[in-house]
Formats: sequence, C-alpha cells, structure tokens
Amino acid sequence: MIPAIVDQPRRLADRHRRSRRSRATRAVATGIASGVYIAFAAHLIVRGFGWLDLDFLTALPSRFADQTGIGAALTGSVMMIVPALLVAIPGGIIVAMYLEELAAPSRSTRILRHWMNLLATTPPVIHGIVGLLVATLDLGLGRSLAAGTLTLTALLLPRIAIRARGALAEVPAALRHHAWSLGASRWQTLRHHVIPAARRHLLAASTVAVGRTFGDAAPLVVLGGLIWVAASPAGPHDPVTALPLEVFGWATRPEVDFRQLAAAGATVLLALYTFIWALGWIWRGDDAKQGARR
Amino acid sequence: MSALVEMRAFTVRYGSTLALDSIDLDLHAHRVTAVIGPAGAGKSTLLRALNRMNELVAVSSREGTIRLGGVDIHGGDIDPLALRRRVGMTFERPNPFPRSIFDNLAWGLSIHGVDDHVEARIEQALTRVGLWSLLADRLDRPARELSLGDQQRLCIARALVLEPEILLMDEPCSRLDPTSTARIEDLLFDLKTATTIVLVPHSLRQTSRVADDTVLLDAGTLIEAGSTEEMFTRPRRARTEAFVTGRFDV
Repeated sequence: MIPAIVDQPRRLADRHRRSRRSRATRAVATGIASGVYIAFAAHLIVRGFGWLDLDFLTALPSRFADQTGIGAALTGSVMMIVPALLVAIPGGIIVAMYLEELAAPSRSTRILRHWMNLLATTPPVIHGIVGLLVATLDLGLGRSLAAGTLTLTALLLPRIAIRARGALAEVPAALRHHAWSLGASRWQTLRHHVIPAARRHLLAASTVAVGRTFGDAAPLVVLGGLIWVAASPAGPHDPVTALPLEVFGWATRPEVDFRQLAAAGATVLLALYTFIWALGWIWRGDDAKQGARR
Repeated sequence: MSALVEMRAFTVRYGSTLALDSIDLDLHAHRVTAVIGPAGAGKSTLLRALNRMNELVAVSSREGTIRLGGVDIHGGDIDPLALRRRVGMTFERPNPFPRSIFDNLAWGLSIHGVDDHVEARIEQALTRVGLWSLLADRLDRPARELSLGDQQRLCIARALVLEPEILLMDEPCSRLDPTSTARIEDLLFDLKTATTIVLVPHSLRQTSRVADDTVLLDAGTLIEAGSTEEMFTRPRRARTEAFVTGRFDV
C-alpha cells in the first residue's frame, strides 16, 4: 500500500536516531565505569611504582618503610587460600553436580538450590562474622591460619557451586536426553558427556572465584583483623596475615612512605586479580569460539 | 493378535497440568504407529511414557499401567535403564556425541556391559540405516562432521545397536531436507521387520506415507486410534475427520 511506503523513511530515520542515542548512552556509561577504574589503577601504579621490586615482594613486615614488604602477606594469602581451594573447588563442583544433574526433580532439591544461592550471595562480611564466632571462638582456633582457611572455604564453596551449576546448565539438555534414552544412568551421562562438555566452563568458574577470594579482605578483617604479623605461618595454629590486610594496615598509617607502600601493595593485588581473571577469560573465550564454529 | 504394548487408564500430570488423560491404547508388534495431534496434545509425553523418560525430564506423576510384553514397566523389579535399552528413542534434533562415529555407537553397548562382537554389532546397525557403505572406512572421524540427515541416521543406528524391541521416534525428519526425509521414511519399512516403531510424524502426509496405525491425541485425550487407512478414509469421529482433512489446528 502507498501509505506504508511513504511512511517508511520517516520511521526508519527515527529508528536510526534512537539506535544512535542508545549506542551513545552505552558508550558514556562504559566510559565512566572503566574510566574511574583506569584512573584509580593508574594513580596507584604511579604512586607505588618506585617501591615495586623483588625485595618488596619477598620482605617480611618491618616498622621501617624501606625494609618492609609483602612477603608474609603473600605467603599468608597463598597458605590460606590454597587449602581452602583444594576443598572448595571439588566440593563446590560436587554440590553443583548433585543439584543440577543427579538429584531427582523434587521440592527438597529446589529448596537446596535456593539455600545455595543464599549462601553464595551472602556478603563476605557476614561469612567473616560467622567465621569469627564459630572458627575463632567456639572451635578455639584463634586468629590463626586454620580459622582463616575454614572461613574462606565456607565463603568459596557456595560461590563455586553456583558458578559450576551455571557451567553445567549451559550444556544443552538434548545431550542428556540422548544419553538417557540409551539407558545411561544420570551418573554415566554426567561423567561421559556433561562434564567433558562443561570442562572449560568449570575451570573458568573456579578461576574467577579464586581471583575474587585473593582480594576479599572483608571476612578476614572481621576474623582476625589487622594484626601485626611479622612472619609467615609455620603451622595451622600460627597467626596469619593476608595481602589485603597488610595493604589496609599501611594505608591507615600517617607516614607518606607507608601510603606509597600501600599503593604498591594495591598494585600487586590488582595485577594478581587481573591475571587470574584473564586466565579464566582465556579459557572461557576459547570455548565460546569453539561454540560459534559448531 | 495380542498387543506388544497395552496402555490402560494411563494418566500423566506435570504439576497440576494434565498431559495425558486416562489413555487406553494397544500398540502392535512390527508395525509403525504414528502419534498425531495438535501442539501440546501430549504426543511427546506419550512417547516418553513408554521408556519412562518423563521421570527424568520433569516433575511428573502418573496413574494407570503400561504393559510391555505383558510385564508392567513400572513394576518394582523393572530397572528403567534396562527398559530404555529395550525401548530406544530418537529425537527431533540429531545430536551425536562430540566423538568419533565409532564411539557414538559403542558407548551404548559399553554402558550396558556388552563387550562381545562390538564391531559386528556396529556394522550391523550402520547397515540397517544404510550408512555402512558410506562410513565403513571413516568410523574414527568426528560424528558431527556428517550432514544433518546422516547424523539423524547415525542417531537411529545408535539406538538400534542395542537391538531394542521398540523404537520411539520424535519427529525424526522435521529438521531434514526432503531427500534425507525420504531416506528415513524408506528406512522405517525395513526397520519394522525387526522392531516396532512409534513415531511422532512431522506432517499428516508423512503419517499417511509411513504409518500402519495412527493414534490421534488432543489436549491429552485419545480421540481415535486405528489403522491409518481407516482413520484417513473412514474416520469414526468427527474430530478425527476434521484433523486429517486439516480443518482443525495442526
């Protein structure tokens, strides 16, 4: 009809205008968000760069700015996080497999899923408070490596479980149906088909959780908070410090040198987090490309 | 002739939704039975009732009985995994596992602990679907390299390698081109000598081409069941006539 043809250019121009406007809005929003981050990061790097050297990375804490370093904090972080990960990654994946694949569809499974969601989205500070009450005080672990690890495990496991569930859920349902139709059990289907298909996503999910945990000081601040620890822990009951705690401690001191040290420490934190995040991104990215080719 | 499958007062509910409403139905051996009806009629639910896949797919409840060769398939001593070996299934979308052609066929055997004459069984299954001459020298190639039509035939072979008594086929041709469709339809005539086929066809034309018997469902209710020829030429119910002549929503 003629009216439609006449009408078309005007509406088309209108649509193009709206599309341009939305693109501009998106660009501005992205610019603000990443601009702030980049500005902060650049500021930190400029301030702390002079302090970044091997000595800084390995030295134990000292009262003197030119002798101190993040050695104890780094080893503390690693010693707290690694055992936590060794439990939380397999544990989280097993919980995810159970909830997503093995449990028969029922009301109790549904409740369990909501419960996991709740735990995973609980703010880390609350995990810290619970950790303080249970691990530090009730279990008598004190402000030790063991208490930190236990709290981090409790924090990590539901987070990994949720991400792992997402990874499993991305495997097309048809794959399962085909396997089931051949008489495979849920477990056989999971082991032979779903896990291989989700492997990269599971890996990426775990990596992202690791990155976040490295920087997550909130539960530890509550747990043991800002204690002066001059050495790496030698056993599970030794006191421990973590990188974010050390940085926070320096930042609260009045001396300019310590402020700069804090900036250097924060740079290391940012670099670590970005590195781990990039690892996860690379693993996931490869997978996305493969998916597109299929 | 006694029926291979006897369904009596069989009802399936998904939550509060009635998917199948007290179905009484006999399926006969060595015939192709088409299950037809408008969208949401319960065709797939009926198919998946026969291999107890409904239990895996959604929260469902059931009443009534299904007997396969006189045995209640919901009996306490029935292993649903073993049942699914006897009642195979293929789906609308072919979905070979992302492995070699050989592994696709061998996997079903291995999960059922069959380790004798594996290669002979695979050759036989591929021969039955007409793929052996094409694939004999490239069984180690990834199955997903095949064309969609060949993938579907491979999926049929994957079910056949377990030598099922019944093969359930949920719209096996709806994503295929006319040539592949014709091939699969031809295949059905050969397959029914050894297997009983229950098929959700993707069109009424296909029904009239391949089905010996037809079952018409609508909103979970069985409208009419009988020989395809009779249902298409002398339907007993007005609703059947309306459906097979395209006068109510397909």
